[in-house]
Amino acid sequence: MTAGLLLTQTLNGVQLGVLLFLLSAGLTLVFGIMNFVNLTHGSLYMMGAYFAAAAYNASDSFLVAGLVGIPATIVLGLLVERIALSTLYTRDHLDQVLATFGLILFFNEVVRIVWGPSSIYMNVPSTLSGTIDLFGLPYPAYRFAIIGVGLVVALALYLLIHRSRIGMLIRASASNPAMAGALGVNIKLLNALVFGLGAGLAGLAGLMAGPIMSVQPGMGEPILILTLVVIVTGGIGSIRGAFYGALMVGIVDTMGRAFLPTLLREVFERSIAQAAGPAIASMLIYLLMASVLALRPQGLFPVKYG
Amino acid sequence: MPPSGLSPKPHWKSDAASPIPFMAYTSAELNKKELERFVYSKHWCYAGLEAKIPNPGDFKRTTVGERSVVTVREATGDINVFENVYAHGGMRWGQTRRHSSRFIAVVFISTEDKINMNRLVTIIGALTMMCAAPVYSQAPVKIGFIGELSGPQGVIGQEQYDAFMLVVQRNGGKLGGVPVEVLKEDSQLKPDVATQIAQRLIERDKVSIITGFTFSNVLMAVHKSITEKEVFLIGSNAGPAPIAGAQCSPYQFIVSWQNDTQAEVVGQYATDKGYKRVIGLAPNYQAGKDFIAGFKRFYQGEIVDEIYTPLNQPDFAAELAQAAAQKPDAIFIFYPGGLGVSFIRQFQQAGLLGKIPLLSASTADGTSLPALKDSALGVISGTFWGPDFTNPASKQFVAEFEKKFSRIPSQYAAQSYDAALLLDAALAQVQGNVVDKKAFMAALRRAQFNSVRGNFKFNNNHFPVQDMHVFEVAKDAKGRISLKTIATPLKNREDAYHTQCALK
Repeated sequence: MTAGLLLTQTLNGVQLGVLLFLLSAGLTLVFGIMNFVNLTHGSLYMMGAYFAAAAYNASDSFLVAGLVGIPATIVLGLLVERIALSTLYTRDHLDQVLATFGLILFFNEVVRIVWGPSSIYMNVPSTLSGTIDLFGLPYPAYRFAIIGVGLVVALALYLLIHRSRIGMLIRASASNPAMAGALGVNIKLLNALVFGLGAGLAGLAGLMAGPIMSVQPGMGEPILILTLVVIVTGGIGSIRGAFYGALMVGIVDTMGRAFLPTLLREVFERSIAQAAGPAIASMLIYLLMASVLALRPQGLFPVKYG
Repeated sequence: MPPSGLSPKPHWKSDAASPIPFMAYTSAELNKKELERFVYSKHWCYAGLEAKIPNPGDFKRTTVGERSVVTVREATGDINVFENVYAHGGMRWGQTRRHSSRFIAVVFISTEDKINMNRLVTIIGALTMMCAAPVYSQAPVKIGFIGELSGPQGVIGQEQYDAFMLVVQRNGGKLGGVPVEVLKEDSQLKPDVATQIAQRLIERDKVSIITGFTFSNVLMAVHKSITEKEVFLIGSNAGPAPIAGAQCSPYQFIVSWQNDTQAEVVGQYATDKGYKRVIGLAPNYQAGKDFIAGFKRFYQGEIVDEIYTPLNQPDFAAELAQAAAQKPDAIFIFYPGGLGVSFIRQFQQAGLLGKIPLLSASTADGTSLPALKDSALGVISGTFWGPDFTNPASKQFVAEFEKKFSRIPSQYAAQSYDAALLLDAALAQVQGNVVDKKAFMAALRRAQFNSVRGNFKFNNNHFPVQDMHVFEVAKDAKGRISLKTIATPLKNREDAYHTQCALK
């Protein structure tokens, strides 16, 4: 295990974490502020990837893919919120889970009908198609771009939530929606805004993931599970929690997958290590979540208000 | 007005407007006379609209007098009408199927016109023909198709179905000169759903042949219940080890391959290329382990590492960095469907494509290449057939498939095309008589057809004995990303399990 490899895997972990952050930021806002369990978030990510890939195939430009994919996902998110989800805000969580699970099936079938069952094509922008040399190990430039985009979004979200008037209103309505409403804040509009913001971030995640992962029906579900782990670990409703939680989950998951099978081989026989390694590695993030829940049930970075 | 000259004469209440007397509807004698006059005498009867059966193989069921008749569009485009009776059991088999309702022409049938067979056929004429000619040449043979048609894996089932129907439609709804009816069913990658479908096809629809079968686990779930009912199982994709070995059945005919052979050929290729150190990667489930095992059977170098990833893991950055750091001579992967698209993209983006040879099985194929395009150039893949084959059967298949579907056919389409050709040859040999199971089995076993892979031969376990080839992802003559044949490391490969099969 060289320093270069360790650095590469750390970057891989950070990159996975940043991608998870883009998704969990939106989910944690909707969950924490609107008290709404939105399983459709993974589908919005998938739709974002599909919109972007469709625009990319039509224009051959990654920029156009972004300019079409993200606004299209926001519009779709707002439509879904208005048509289906806004009627569920007052219902209990089980109803919300059932309804949004139904929407997952709906969207998976929609993309299958429109774009077919197989993966569709999308590629990295040509300026980012190369690799960057890290102590003799090449690292894809596009993954650096993902990390950069994620950090910029994190900073922008921090400024938006903690340093802007709209952020103040969001925090106020999260802490006491009835009182915020009585003081003249349009809660309905604010909810739509938060949902639109979440959808936009999911669309951005879909756009960034499109060129590295297979754009196919059902691509949102595996990542939705990781996202739920992130927001539970980080503390529901907290952007800061989502950021640190996502990085922790990303790094723990990547390090586990990368090094655990090798470490186990030092202790056990090869065949046992080969069978147990991947199994334990894929359990690590759930172990992390379970220990966090046992020690700090509100998550690592719970919201300070409310 | 009531027909005159009939006795008993219906009693009309008055000469003015009055309801038709009930006995006109109920008298058996009147009915008989009516049939004789209007239906069985020299007369034109309505059988159906030509426009409702536009394509060869389309048919419509109607009743003329007491007889159920079927109007069929033949392969030649002609229309024939015959009585709806299944010669062997006297059962009616017809089901109506509707198409365009555009009014083009009305088909009438004359009850005495025995000569004008091309355009119009008489009932009596048809009946005479039924008695004289071998009747089974008209009753359609029912064929069930079970495949994965929905979800992310639905693309493979769709390829199988499209290619099968390509042959059926080319032959005007016939295989082996016999009309066939294909009942398409989606098993949704759920063994329990497949079990119900198989039971329904056998018990209710009385199919004598079931084809398709995309996934091994689905095939394993239905294999026993189909073959035990003496229904012919013509597999055109999955080839799990148990049914190639101890659990083989004389009613199974697997036209594709035994699963392992696709990895074995890549293993032999790695040996031939002199690769000393190879890393294997696959999803952490049974097929993943089977493919790695198949690769190892013919690879003589060292397997430096075997990496198994969770089946739903879409990002391979960690595994790629780990594998690249060990500087192997080559990497062997089995990542079917979307997993392969993700893996190969990330392999290319990590700058490894072209540096480390990427060997694959069931990964870079006709279904994933359209999503990969240039990022898969140079990837090696092993299987039994590629779209650049130059034998006439393959050329005809590729040309017809591309013309109809505007895409390069995948190996899954080729397998199913061969399954249809096999049935075409075997049904022709028995003249559509699938009731004589022994004769039909022998005809399938002989398998005299022009396979897209060149020569075709069944082994004792009814799996093919065939050459296995290695392909490289490259641009074809039209500049599209496709597979190019580069080597044939295994000739006349019999699968590793055929000796465990009790069949001779």
